[in-house]
Amino acid sequence: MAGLALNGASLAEKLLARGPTSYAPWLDRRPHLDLIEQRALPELRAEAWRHTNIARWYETVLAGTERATRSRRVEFPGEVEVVDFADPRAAELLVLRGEEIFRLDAQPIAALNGMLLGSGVAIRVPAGTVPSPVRIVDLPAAYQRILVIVEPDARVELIEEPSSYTHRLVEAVVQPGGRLLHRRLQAASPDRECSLVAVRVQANAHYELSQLSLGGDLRRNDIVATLAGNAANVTLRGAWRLVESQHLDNQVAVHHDAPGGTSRQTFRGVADGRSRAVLNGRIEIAPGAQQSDATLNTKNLLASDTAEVYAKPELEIYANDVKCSHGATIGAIDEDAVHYFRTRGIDAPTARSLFVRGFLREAIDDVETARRLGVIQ
Amino acid sequence: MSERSNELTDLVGEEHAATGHDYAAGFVTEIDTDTLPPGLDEDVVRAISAKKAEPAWMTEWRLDAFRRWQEMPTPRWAHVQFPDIDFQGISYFSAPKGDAPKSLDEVDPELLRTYEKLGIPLHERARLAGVEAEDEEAPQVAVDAVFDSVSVATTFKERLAEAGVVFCSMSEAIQEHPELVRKYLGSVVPKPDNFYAALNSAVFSDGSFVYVPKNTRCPMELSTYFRINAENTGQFERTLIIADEGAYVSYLEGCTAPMRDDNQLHAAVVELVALEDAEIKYSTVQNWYPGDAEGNGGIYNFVTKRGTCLGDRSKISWTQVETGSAITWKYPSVMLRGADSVGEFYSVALTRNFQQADTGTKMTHIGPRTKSTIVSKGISAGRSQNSYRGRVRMNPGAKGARNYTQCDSLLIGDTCGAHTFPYIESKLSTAVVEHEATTSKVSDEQLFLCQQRGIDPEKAVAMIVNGFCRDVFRTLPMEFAVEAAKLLEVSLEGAVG
Repeated sequence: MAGLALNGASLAEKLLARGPTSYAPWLDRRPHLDLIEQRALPELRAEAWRHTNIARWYETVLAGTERATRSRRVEFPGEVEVVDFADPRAAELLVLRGEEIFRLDAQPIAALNGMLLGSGVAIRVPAGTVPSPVRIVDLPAAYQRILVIVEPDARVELIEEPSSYTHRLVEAVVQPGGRLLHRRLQAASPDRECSLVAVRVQANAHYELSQLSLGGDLRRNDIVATLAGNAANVTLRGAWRLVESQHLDNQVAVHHDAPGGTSRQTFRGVADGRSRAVLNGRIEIAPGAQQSDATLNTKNLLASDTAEVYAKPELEIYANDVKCSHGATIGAIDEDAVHYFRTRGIDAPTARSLFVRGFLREAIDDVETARRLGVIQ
Repeated sequence: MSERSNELTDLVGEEHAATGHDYAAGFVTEIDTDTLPPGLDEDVVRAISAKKAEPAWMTEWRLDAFRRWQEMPTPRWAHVQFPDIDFQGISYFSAPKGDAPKSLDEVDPELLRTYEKLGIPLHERARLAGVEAEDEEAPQVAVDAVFDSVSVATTFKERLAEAGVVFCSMSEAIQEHPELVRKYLGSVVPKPDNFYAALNSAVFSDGSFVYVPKNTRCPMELSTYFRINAENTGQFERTLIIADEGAYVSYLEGCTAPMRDDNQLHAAVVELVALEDAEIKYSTVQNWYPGDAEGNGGIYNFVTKRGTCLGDRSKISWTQVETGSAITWKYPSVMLRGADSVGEFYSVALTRNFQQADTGTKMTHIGPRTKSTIVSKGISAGRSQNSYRGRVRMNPGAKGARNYTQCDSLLIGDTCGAHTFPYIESKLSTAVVEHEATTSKVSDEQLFLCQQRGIDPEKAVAMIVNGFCRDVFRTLPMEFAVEAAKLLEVSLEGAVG
C-alpha cells in the first residue's frame, strides 16, 4: 500500500492534466501553477509533515469533493465591505493587501488553493470603524479563500463557524493601530482538511487568534503571523480535544520582523482514544527586531495509552536584546486532583471532566462555544 | 542600555585585536609521519585495516560500512552551513612513523613534549592541569593519548589491570579482546546509523576501549586526549566503553588541533554500554581549533555519541563543554532500555566569531520508570550560530517515565543567533515530559552592578557567563571543571560585546 501512496509529484502530474479552475479569472494563478509544475509539493515524510500522512490528504484532493450545491453564507454589518472573490473589486482589495503575506515556497500546498480555488470572500473594515462581528458561516466549493483588510484604527471580530473544506486560505492584514480578533471554530469532522492562516500585523496593531478544535479524520492548521511594524502585538490561543482516531496537526510560526513586538502563544490540548495531536510552534526573531518579547506555552494531557502527542516548540533568534521563552509539557490528568474532588463528593468521571475543563480554559475564554462544539462537557 | 552594550563591543573588540590569537593549542608538532595519500575507496579501507593487522571479520565489517556509506546522502537538516566536503581530498590515515611503542619509555620525546605543552603530561605521576598540589593523595587520571590516527600511549595500564579494568586503544582491543569488541561494536551506533557514523565505521583508525568488570569501581578517572596534528587529514576515532553489572567509571575526553586555514574533518563515534546497576559518566571538554576571527579554518566536528542503559537501574551521564570547532554537529544520547535507568545530559556550548554549533541530545525512554534530565546552556557571541536540537521520546513501554529539560541561551552582541529545536514525543499517558527554554542577553543590570564594584566589563561578563553555566560545571569532575571555567574565560576574551 505504501508503495502506491500518492506523492507530491504524482498528484501534480494528475492535477496539471486537468488544469486550473475558472473561478475568479482575474486571479494570477501563475505562481501556483509554477510551483506545482516544478514538483515542489511536499513529498511524504517531509519535515513539516513528519506526523501527518500527507498522502491521505492528497487522496482527498485527487478525489475532488464537489460541494457546488452549498451556498455562500457570510453575515456582516453594513459598514463592512464584503465582496465575492470572483468580483473584480476583490482584485482591488488584493492590491490594498500589499505584498504577499506568506512565502508560497514555505507553504507549498497553498498553491493547490490557488489552482483549484472555487469560492471566497474579500472583506474590508474601513478605517476607524468598530463594527459588530463578521461571521463566515459557510462557503461553497472545496477550495476557499478569505481575505481580510482591517484598515487603520478599525476593530473587528471575525468568526469562522464550523464548516468543511479541503483547503481554506485566510489572509489578513491589520493596518496600523487596527485590531482583529479572529475566532476559529472547528467541529469534529469525518473529512480531511488543511487550512492556512497568514496574517501581517503592522505598527501598533493587534491580532488575536482564538482557535477551538476538535479533530478530523485529518485536520491540519498552518498559522503564520508576522509582526511587521513597530510594537505590533500577536496573541494566539488554541485548545483542542481529540477522541477516537482523530488527527490534529497545528503548525504555528510567529515572525518578529520589527522591533518592540510582543507575542503570546498559549495552547492546551487533550488527546484520548487513538488520536494524535501535533503542535509545532516556532518563534523567529529577525536581525534588528530588538526589544521583542515572545513566549509560547503548550501543555498536553494524554488521556489514553494509545494516543500520541508531538510537540516541537522552536526558537530561532537573530537579535540579542530580546526576551523569548517557551515551555512544553506532556502528562496525564493529575490523579491527586481527581482524588481531591472525590473527597468532596464529586465522582471520578465528573472530576476528570472538570479537570479537563479547567485545563483547557487556560487557553480559551469562550466557554459557551467550547461547550457547543463539545470541546468541553 | 544598548548603547552601553555597543561600548562593550568596541572595548573588547580592540583588546582582541591587540592580543591576537588566544588559541594556545594551535601549534604544529614536527614529526615524521606515515600518511596514506588522500582519497577513499575500498582499497583505502583495506589498507587501514591491514596497517592495524586486523582480523578478517573487522575488515569485512569496515567494508560493509563503506558500501552502505556510499549509498547515503549527506545530511542537510542541521542549522549549519558549509561547502560540500570533498571526501576524496582527505587523507584517512596518518600516524607518527615507526613501530607502536610498547611502553611510555619508547614514546617519541617530541610527542611527549606535545602533550606536556597541551597540559596533558603522560608521565604517570602527573596530574591534569588545574590541580596544582603534588599531593600523592590527589586523584590520579589514566590517559589514552590519540595522535592523528593512532593511540600513542596509555598510562596506568598495570594499575588498572590489577582492578580488572581494561583501558587500551581500540586497535589493541580488536587484537586482545575480540569477543567484547564483536559483541558491542556497532551495537549502540549501528553502521548505517547516519552518514558520518557510517564513514567512521569504514575508516576509523583508533580510539579508546574500556571494559569495567562486574561490581568494580574504576580506581581512577580515565581520559582520552585527541590531537589532530597532520595537515589535510581527517580524524575518525572510535570509542567503546562497557560497564558490566554494578560497575562505575568516569571518563574524560579532551581535544585540540593546530591552527590552519583549511577545514579539517573529525567524525568520531562513541558508544557506551551500561549493564545492570552500572554507571558511566562521560565528560568532554571540546576545544578543537575553531577557525580564526574571519571564519577561516577550523575543525568540522561531526560526532555521533550514544549510550545505552541496557540493564535495570543503570545510569549514563553526558557532560560536555563545547568551545571549539568551526562547526559542531553532535548529539550525545541515551537509549533508556532498562527499568528505572537514568540518562543525563549537561551541556555548555559557546560559539563566537563565525563558529556554528548544532548540538543537543536524544533521550529515548523505552523501559518503565526511566528518568532523564537535560540541561543545556548555549552562549552565542560574534557572528556565530548556536542551536540546541534535542528529542525526548516516550515509547509505549515507558510507564511512569519522566523527563525534565531546561535549555537556556545567552546572546552576546546583536549579530549572532541562538536557536532551539526540541522534539517532544509521547505515546503513553503515565509519562511526564517537561521542557522549558529561555533566550536573553547578558543583563544590563547585572553588568552595571559588577562595574559599580570596580569589576571591568569583560571580567563581569565572564563571571555572569560562569554563573549561567554553573548547573553544568558542577557535574564535571573537579579537574575538568577548573579547566572548563578557564577555557570559557579564555574563549570569551575578545568575544564579549
